[in-house]
Amino acid sequence: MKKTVKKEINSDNIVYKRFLSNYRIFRHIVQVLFIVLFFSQLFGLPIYFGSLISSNILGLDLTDPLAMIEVILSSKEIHVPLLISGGIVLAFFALIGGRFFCGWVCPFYLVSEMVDKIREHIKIRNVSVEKSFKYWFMFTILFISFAISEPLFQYFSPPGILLRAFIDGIGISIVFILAILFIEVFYSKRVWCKSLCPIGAFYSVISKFSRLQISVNKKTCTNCMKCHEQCIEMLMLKPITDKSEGFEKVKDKNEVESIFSGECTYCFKCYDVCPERAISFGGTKK
Amino acid sequence: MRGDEKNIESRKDFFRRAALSLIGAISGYSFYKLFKRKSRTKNYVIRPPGASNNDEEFLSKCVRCAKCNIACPYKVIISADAGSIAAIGTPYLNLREGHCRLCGDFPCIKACPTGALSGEKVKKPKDVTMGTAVITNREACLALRGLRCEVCYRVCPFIDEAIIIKETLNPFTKKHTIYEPIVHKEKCVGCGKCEEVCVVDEAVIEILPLMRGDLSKHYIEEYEI
Repeated sequence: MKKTVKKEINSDNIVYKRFLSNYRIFRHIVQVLFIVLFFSQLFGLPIYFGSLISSNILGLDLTDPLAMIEVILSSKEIHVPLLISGGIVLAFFALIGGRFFCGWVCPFYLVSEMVDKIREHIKIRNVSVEKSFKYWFMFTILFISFAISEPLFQYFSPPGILLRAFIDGIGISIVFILAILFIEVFYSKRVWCKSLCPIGAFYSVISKFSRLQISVNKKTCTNCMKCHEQCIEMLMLKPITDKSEGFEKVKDKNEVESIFSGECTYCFKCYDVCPERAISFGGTKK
Repeated sequence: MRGDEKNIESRKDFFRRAALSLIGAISGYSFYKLFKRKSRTKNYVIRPPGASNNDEEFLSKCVRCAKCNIACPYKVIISADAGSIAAIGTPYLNLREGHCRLCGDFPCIKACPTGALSGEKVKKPKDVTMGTAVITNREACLALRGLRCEVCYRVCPFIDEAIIIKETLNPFTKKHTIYEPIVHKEKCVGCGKCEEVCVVDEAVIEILPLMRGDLSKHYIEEYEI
């Protein structure tokens, strides 16, 4: 009896809870806010200055750590202010989880998400690319940057191209972004963020040691796999909700299991979609 | 029926291949455009103040963040796009459109996070070494044709230091004077004001990058074009 009553309360509260704790909308607000911040400097507001590769927020210099490493490798010398400005971002994201940058800041992620909505209306095949490819891609780019003495990734970094297009007007570089979006819609879902982007790969590596993670309560989880469908870009929840393991078996183990893969972009789609509210977010012990 | 199905299949395959090759062609072309660095007309780029005169050194340090572009109060620094004369994302100046005003506090150098534009050697406007002015088209220069033009001389921020006027007898009329502008390479900082204001349709006085050592090679290339 008790159990059924609890379930009823849950289902009654679901709409109310959804409205209050919809991280997805909150995340979109933050994403748009960063774009607004970027535009504010073009109208002369002194809050934000720069682009996502390197910026200055209220006097604090910040640099994309991957760009910092690339420049150190290509110029073969260490510029101390660069090291400090990149180190701040590196430490911050290593602490809270690196791919927060992807899900909450990167403008290309927002564009990609918006374009991805087309996929919901038309059924097209999805060619899956290995997730681990992005690590190889990152190391190749770093190696070439070192070899040719030029930060190679900055030639085609999508956030860089997007933000430069806002400053100086849209040029030929935008073709690269359109090409990625075209491939993402018609061939492989979210392929850039999932298995190509070196920035994402870099942040995945550093956020392995972060303690802020998405966790699943195995007692309330019914293995409906709705979160898994939502998380298709990263396939994060597969090890937890894997049907092959058997739900009854899992019940006896730890109650809560967290994702420690580092590839989570903290998009909170799984959190919002879960009908049992089994997914939580917070600091976890390993 | 089978034949029809086969036909449809092969047609589908054909379209698939056509679409793939089209995508390949478009992406190949865009990559070519993206990585194409130099235009046909110019094989050099004028960088903002503080940049190394060795362009390869500058390229290795520049992180393409466009901060100097945003910091420039006169909006003369441009972030290169694919297909323009400079490498993608790197800052350069189109001096014919707008010259460097040589701000005393150098906001572009202050904005640079990587030291690609470094203020170590550049403390005041006179220390800038963006390039040097050269009369590249002597046939079209009004002053050398006998008119008293002197525009580049008058606008120069280092008048009588970087550009002086040398008076010589006109060899054709034997009684008039030619007021020839002469640039002193050591004093000229390459701000490009002379290039911007040159009254001829295509500027006859241009800023060329400072090249240490082999200067002659550079000029040969200019004349070959």
